[in-house]
Amino acid sequence: MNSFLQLEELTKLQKLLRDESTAFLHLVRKVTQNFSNEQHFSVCSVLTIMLRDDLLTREERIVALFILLHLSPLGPELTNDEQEQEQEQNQNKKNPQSSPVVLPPFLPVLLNIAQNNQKFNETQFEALFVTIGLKDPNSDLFKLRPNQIGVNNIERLKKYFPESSKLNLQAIFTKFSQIESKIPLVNKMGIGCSISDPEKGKESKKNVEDFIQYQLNNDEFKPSFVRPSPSILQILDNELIWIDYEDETLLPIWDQTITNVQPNNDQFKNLMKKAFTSQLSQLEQQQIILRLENEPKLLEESGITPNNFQGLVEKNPIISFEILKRFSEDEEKINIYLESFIKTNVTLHSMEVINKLSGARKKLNKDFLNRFVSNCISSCGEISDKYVQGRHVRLVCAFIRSLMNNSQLDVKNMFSELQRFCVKFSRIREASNLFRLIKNQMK
Amino acid sequence: MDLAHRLFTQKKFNEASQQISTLLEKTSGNNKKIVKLKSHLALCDYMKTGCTQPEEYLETLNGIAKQFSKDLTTADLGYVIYNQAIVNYQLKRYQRAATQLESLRKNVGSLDPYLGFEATYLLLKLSIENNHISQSNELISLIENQFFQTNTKNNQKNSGLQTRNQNKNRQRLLMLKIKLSLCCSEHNKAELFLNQLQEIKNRNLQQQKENQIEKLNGKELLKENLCLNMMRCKIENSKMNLEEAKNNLWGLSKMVGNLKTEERDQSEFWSSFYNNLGCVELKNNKPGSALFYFKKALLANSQICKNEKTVNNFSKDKRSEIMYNTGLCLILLEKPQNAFQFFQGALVCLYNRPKVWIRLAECCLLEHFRLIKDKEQVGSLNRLVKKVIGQGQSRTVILQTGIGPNDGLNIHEESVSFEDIVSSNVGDLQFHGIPVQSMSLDYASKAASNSILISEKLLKIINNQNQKTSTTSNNNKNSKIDENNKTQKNEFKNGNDNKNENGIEKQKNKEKTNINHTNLNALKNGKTNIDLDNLSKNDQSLKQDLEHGLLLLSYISLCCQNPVTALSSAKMLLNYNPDPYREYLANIYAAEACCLLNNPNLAKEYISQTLQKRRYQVEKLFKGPKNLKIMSPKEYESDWSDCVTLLNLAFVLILQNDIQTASEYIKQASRMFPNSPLVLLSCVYLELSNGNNQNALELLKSCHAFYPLENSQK
Repeated sequence: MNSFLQLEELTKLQKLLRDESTAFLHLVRKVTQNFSNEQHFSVCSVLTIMLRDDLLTREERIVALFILLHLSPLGPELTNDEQEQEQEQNQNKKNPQSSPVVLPPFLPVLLNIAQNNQKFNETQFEALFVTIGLKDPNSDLFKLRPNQIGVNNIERLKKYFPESSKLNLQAIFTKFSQIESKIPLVNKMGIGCSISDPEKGKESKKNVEDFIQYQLNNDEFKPSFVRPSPSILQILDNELIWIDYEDETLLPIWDQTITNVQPNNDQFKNLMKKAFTSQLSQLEQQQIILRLENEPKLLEESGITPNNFQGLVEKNPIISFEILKRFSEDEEKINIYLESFIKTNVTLHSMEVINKLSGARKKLNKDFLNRFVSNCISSCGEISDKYVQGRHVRLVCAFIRSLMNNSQLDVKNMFSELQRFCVKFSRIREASNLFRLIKNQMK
Repeated sequence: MDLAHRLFTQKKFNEASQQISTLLEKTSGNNKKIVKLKSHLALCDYMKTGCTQPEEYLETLNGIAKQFSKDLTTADLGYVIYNQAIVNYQLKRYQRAATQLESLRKNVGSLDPYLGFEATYLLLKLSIENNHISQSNELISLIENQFFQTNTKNNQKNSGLQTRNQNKNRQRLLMLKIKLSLCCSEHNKAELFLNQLQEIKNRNLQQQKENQIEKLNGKELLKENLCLNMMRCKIENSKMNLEEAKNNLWGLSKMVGNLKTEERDQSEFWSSFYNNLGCVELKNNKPGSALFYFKKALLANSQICKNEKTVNNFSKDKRSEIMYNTGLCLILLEKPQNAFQFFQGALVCLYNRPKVWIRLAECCLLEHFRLIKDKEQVGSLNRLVKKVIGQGQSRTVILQTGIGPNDGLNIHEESVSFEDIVSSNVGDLQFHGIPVQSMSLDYASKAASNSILISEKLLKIINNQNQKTSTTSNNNKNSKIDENNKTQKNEFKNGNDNKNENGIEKQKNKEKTNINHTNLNALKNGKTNIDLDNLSKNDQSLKQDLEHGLLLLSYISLCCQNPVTALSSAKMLLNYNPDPYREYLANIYAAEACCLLNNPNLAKEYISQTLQKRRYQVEKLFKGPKNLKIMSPKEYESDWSDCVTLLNLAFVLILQNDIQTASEYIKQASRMFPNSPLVLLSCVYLELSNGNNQNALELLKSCHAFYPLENSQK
């Protein structure tokens, strides 16, 4: 496309420039009527040359500037505030092909004029005119005719200066330089980025060589740091999420303990009743112990008697120990309950309870303890099955040792009985060990 | 009260509610009774709405708990707390539910046994779902000791109802034991438990037949059966008996397909069926077919969502899980952009899993690599010539105008409009309410940071648990101080500004932001305070997540020209004693960051460390799944890693103006890879710096990557 106008068109343009009787805004209409869109670039080019080479009168210059202002408006990159601009950029990123960064080609001319507002009166007027044009393209100023403005009357022009305009010329300059910096140097210099194939002839090959030499001399081949990229994390077998088909639906639950909220102790009594005949779960045992801790008086309502106590010892030794512990302040009562141990057969659980009690209590009744130990010893002789007997002897030995360690057992009083027991079962290692311990203590 | 309960079980919630209200009016002074009546009233109101108003119910329960917390113990408020936990669990607020259940567990001895079991059971379920193996084991032994009697003789003496309940609970526990065993990859153990479970169920069926009491209806029986068989498929799948797993799954589908029930009742089964089939296919290295099944699973799952918006349906909605699997599938199919969207969808519920964040970061990186590769392909690695067009006399060379460090993915995030969030299409499926962020390096860096924070937090919990069992009270004091510090720094780089349809997701976002920024200072200093030596086999993958997150963050930071973060995360990674591959990369990244920070001496130290441990068995580490063809294999050969080290060392020496030593390293590299463009460029530079421009030119011409004219002639 030829960037200049034909003589005919130039004459039309000159006519327009000299037309002082038409308002500025109507002038635009005339320009668009006389010149097609494709010719606008040429019109602007010609006007720029005329302005630069000072080929116009002052009035004509103003008209030329006005036409330039309207044919080369600021792009959205420069006029929008930051927020709008961001949105614009985002849209551009989504559709990168839709709007490449294009700067209005004649904007630098206008910006230069707007900057020159301190040189002479003449240019000051033009600068103000351009600034108004950039800031408010629909200003009332442009409803006037060129001859109404008065090219020297700056004060009059200042009246039209839009105070409220958001447009900041300084910001436009900065944005302009930012956008400009993104344009490749080759494009900025006006050099085309295509060259003819150097292989076509020797001369052109030399051009390429020169070009490469130029690049070499400009440090273009300075090596850069090699950054190997990380691989993706290996997908392990258990990383894939398997969805279990659930057959249960979890829902909030109704508190069925509501009727038992009023602590009428029935629950406790029932549990105790159960405890005499069957083994309780750990949780049930804890519940009893907790209730006893909180309300010691409940013991009286537990229905426990020396007669049924052995049942409790056998089924729930932990609970029976807790109960004995609570009786321990009442010497008389505890003796009655301990007596029940003497009356019944010695079992693992009864030994366990007494052992625990010996550890927890300062001193157990000596008489009771001696009788219980001799019961234990005699119970060993009553077992006919050798295997069961051996196991029982081992347990008795461990029990006696524990009593001795807790300093509960008076060995001197029972020495002969203990010695007989140990000698009788000397084939069992625990018994011979016990014997050695007793002998050492006697020394 | 019994009447109210009877009405409640008959689903006459209005009448039950009225009954309780009159009782409440009559009651005064007894706080325990008032609490129970009020919580029952709230429960009736909640059930009345068909469980569609969980927030209101939770609010009422909160109010009750607050009002009476001063006068009553945790045990007294047990049911209130449990019901809060169960609703939170259904709303997938797992963290909150776990905290509430933990408080009940501490008081399990003083709880009503029924409640005690249910609370511990739910906590166990949660901890298995979150892969907390050691905690799960503890809970199992607690349940067994507390709630199941070991003496079978006594069991027989118990009342029939209690025995039946215990029997049921034993089955439920066995199911969880199977899941736990599978989490630990103990297939045989899982199989053993499954056989036990099957045996119990068979025995029960026989008893039911004999006694003709409380028969399960057909629907329940089928559900039980399906559940058990699905578990069998899971075991086969984890044992890598993929064909068998697949056949079993198809068998199940036939069973359900023949049923004459409403489609919406079956959608829960179909969503899990297709998802699991997809998992089997993916394991079988068939990502294409897996993707097909995952999409079907998503469609079936959308049926659940279409049903009433009840809490139950919400808890059955496994969209996030399926989307995560689909994302993995798409990564293997080299479609990081689509995978990214699916991982974003998975984030809605799985935000607490470090792997999801890692995958998101990786998607961004893969896209970044793709864009760079595309650009490179256009320019054939050429820095001068972009393209040759035309033929003969009109042949023209187009020069390159804009290759630079900012190529690839955008560094900065783009904001996404609300419309994009509401109607985002994922592949050919349309979902609502999925937060879709744009892919950017910034987002990748945030995702990597989040993965680090979460895995670090989880490792700290495991660490504390390990310490609890083995250390003295002094250590506990320290951890308390740590915890105090933790709570002061409540920060979470949330990459999503989720705008969801209902309040459920909003609440979850709140939870999301509650993830503590545990080790911000540590990241800045590149130091760690977690002891990773005593981790169990299962927790090792968490350590791997942490290390990989740090590696990604370091790399992405370099791409974003942020050497400070790159250096600190690389340093932190090196402190964790990573495997040789990560150690190598961390050293390289740290060295580059040092160069960018103008500290070539330190950079040299980092690179020297990689040289000292030359000949890493990198091939082994880089192998990965067979389907992954994302990286060019050449890049990860051990020779190549040596070559990179040499070139980088040369680069640092050039920075220090020691061209002579640098040239030795470059020559060494060129002996290893004489045709590599990167090595050639360095050689060209050497020739230039020695003033041999002609030699440099010849070198350039010898490599077609730089001089496509000759290449095109060939």
